[in-house]
Amino acid sequence: MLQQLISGLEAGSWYALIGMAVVVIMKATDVPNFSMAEMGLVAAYVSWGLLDKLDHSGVKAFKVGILAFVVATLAGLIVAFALGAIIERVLMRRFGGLSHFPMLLMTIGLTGVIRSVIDKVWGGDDRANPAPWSGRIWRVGDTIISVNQLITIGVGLAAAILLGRFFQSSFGAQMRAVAENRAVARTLGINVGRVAVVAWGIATVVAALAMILQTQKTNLGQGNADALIIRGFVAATIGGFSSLMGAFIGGLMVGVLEFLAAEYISTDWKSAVALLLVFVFLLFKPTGLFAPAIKPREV
Amino acid sequence: MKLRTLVVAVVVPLALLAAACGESDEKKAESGPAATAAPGGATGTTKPDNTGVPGISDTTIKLGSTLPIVGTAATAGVGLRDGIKLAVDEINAAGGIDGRKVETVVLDDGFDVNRLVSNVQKLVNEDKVYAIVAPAGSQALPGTYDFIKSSRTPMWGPVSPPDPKIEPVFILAATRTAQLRVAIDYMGSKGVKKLAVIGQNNTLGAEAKAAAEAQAPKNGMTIVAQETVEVQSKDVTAAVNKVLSSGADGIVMGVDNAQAALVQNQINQAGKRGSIIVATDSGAGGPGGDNTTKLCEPNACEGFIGAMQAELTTSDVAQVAKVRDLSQKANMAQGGLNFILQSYAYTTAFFEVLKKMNGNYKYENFYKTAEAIDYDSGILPKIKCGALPEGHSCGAGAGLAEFKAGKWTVVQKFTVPK
Amino acid sequence: MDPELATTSEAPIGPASIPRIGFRARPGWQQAVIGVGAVAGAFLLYELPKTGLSPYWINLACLVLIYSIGTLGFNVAVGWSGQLALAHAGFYGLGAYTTAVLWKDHGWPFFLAMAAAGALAGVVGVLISWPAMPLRGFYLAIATLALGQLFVQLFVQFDSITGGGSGKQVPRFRVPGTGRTEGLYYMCLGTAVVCFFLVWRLVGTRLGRTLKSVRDIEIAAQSVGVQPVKYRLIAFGVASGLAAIAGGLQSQYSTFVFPLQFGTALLVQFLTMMILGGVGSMTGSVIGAAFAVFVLEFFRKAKPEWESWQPMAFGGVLMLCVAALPGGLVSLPTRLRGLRRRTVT
Repeated sequence: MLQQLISGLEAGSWYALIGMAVVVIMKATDVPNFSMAEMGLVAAYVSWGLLDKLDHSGVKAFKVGILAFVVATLAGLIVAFALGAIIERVLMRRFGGLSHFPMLLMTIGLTGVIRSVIDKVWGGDDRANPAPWSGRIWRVGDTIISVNQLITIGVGLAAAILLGRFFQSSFGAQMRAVAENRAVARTLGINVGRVAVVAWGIATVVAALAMILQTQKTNLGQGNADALIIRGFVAATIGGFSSLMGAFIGGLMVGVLEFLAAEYISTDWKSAVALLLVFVFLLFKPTGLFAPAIKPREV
Repeated sequence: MKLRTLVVAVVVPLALLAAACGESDEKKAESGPAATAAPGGATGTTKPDNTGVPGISDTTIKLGSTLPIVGTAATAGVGLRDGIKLAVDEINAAGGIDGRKVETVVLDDGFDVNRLVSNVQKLVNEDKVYAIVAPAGSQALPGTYDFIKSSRTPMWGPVSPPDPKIEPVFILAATRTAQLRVAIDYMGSKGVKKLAVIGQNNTLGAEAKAAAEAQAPKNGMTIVAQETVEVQSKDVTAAVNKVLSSGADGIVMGVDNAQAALVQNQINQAGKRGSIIVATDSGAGGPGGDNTTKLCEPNACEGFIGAMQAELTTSDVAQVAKVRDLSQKANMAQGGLNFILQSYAYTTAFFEVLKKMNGNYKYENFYKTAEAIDYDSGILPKIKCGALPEGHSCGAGAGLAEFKAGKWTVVQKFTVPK
Repeated sequence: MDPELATTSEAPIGPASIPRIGFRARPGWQQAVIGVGAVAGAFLLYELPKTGLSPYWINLACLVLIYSIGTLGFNVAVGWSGQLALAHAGFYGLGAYTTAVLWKDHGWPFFLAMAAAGALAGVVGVLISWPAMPLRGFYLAIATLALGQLFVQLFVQFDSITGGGSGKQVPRFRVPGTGRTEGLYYMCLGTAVVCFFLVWRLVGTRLGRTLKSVRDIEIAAQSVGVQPVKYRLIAFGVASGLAAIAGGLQSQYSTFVFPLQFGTALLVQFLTMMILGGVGSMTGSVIGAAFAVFVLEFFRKAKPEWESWQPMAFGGVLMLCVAALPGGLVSLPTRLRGLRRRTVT
């Protein structure tokens, strides 16, 4: 039971990170980004590729130097920021202001495009994506906690706190103003374009963290984004697509409930949990948990 | 009322015309070989009459296959394609079969059902192939059985489906269930008492479960856990947590390569490696290759048991060494060498059948000859088919290999389950 | 076959902007002409198998017909009543499974099984969308997206009926007097003709007009005493039913059904077909389906390696349409005409 709980928190942290990334973009540019996890996966591939170059023998033997790892990960995150910014600037900016549904379709389309690119560049094989702490564990009684799990849960929490802080800063306030009303924000002298680019960049970094952490545990492959984006959207829904804290709690909740369902009902039913949860929230609390004062948007 | 009249006005003429329309070319094709069978055609003096037999001309024999050449299963698809090519090049260099050169049509299905179905139909209807050899159409292959049964197109050596027990289909290697049964017997001999099953929620899982249910009682084991992982999912954690808390000392898996590695990583982290024997079928274990083991953390795959449908790719058996050399010379991707071996063996076995048909390629002659085949490819267990209802699983035995000190070692030669 | 299409704006798709693209009622004589044209077209299609076309191409034509019906249903929900219902692939699967089970395991006559599947999906669609009625637009999209996934899960779980993740083989229904492929083709053609005809009729009725007014100006409709919820439910039911009927045919096409067939990939395909063809257009449903099947097939024939670009093709087309061609292919003539007029004057 305790073991499942920790596994649930670990998986929940991935979902929470993706969910928060979705919320950041939604808050700043009002786009429901279905390609969020796929964009993060690109960064994870880049980081892996660099690690493989820097520490060629190491990746195969699973022993990775700290320095190589830090450099590769940072590079991956920088690429993530650039990728998000470019996609915003080149693609989304032109069609900004469309309603949610066309933007959702647009990003569903983008998911397919990114998937093809990943397939062309890196191929279909799975790869080990080790971290310096891969395989290290602590034993607490009968329960086994891996360093990986602790770091994942820690990163999720840190991201939630930092993002929350960020939105309270003046730049964050600008973001919220843009989301609230583009035209008004512009007349207030806010650089709407810059806000959007930064928001997409930050969100993609957060998504990249989720994908890097997840692929360290489950290896790197094309399919990694699939399961995460659906659950990330569930987390975002629990946050009403506007509350970071809601999305964070939502992600953890989905993860923990999934693993508890596996333990007490059956591993068969595990993935139905997240899907049922969406319904419950949309029907009974469509504004989500911790919805801030932003009025719930209609399409 | 008006509406109903209109519907009737449109549909009834259509239906009538449909009923009245003439015989289709397919029906002709179906009745073709039988109708045109020349009496006494296959006697020693006259040349056998192969008119109406699809894919056979005086100078060529056309074979087809459909494989996942791109996408998630590309390694397998490309390997299988290359193996077919090696065998075909070899026989053509030796003058073909009965003076006929072998031609192949290999289509890509990208692991997609609708494309697989239309590929099989294209091979039969448009390319008019004689037989479909070593197709690996994911789990959707059974969807084409009804069709190939009616078109009477032999399907020789489909890769790892359960045996459908229908006339045109011949399974050449041990099914997943048979492989895992052999593995469970081995676990029994090593003293395993509590068996757990981890399977995908599809055919793979169902076959692992069937193997456990058939073989556990024979080895005095109890099944202590049966857990599910989702297809293409990387999330095996919940299932492994449950298996570990069930106290199992043996695990059989019906999963994919990535999942097989992840399960072992987690068992290793829990410090249970060595006290639990983990076994999979040849597909998920990839014995001989590193499809699975390269995804394991250091040492996590030590002691891993993979069933073998064919000799290891590292084996020094003459036939294996030959194929290995040929494939290297042809610059074929060595990651799929086990698949190259497999389809090479399937294809040469098929040529063996064709050679024994003495130039009479009629369908009836094919399946009779195929059922009587007794052929040792040097790569697979001996191929012996026999008649239906039992006989189309032609290679019943499976071997076992263990991953030890970073490489695969054979621990048990080809055996049949208890 | 297509009711007049009126594209007056460059507005992007989405409930707020769909209104300007859509079905419009016509005078009776025009409807009659269109009806005769449609019947003539159907007869031409009827002759298709006799042109000596290989069964392989006839098979692809079947797939076009099947997808057309499914896309038509999608259009009823999204284009016609403005509901972003993304459980479409799930309902398609529900139809495939229901038809397969009734026809294979319970020995129902095939067409009755398929009709029952359509009816069942219609009822399930209404029952499920009822509580979801307060949800609008994007939130409905998320809820139904999850619902579609849940369907796939249920196909796996109820394995005693569905065969679970291993799938279920479905015997072919043989249309008497025809060959295998030909029979399937006539089955698909007949069903498509009936479905398109019924939807076409429905558009012309008071119900159809009411639906559109509900979509366009819900508040106004309410003020004149129309109950929007009722009409939205009907649209949802019809859409689910059509998806299920198409799914029933799919089970005959692939003679095998398994859960993953009906996942997100199929949904994306339906979205692409609908949006490329033209949201809210019957002709567009056929054009979109034909594109998805034939264009990709031509690509494959040209060069097998291009096949792997399929996600790119679907995704790219989807993005392109949303961005540049919100009316879909059917709006092209109108757009081009508009362009010419502008350059002439």
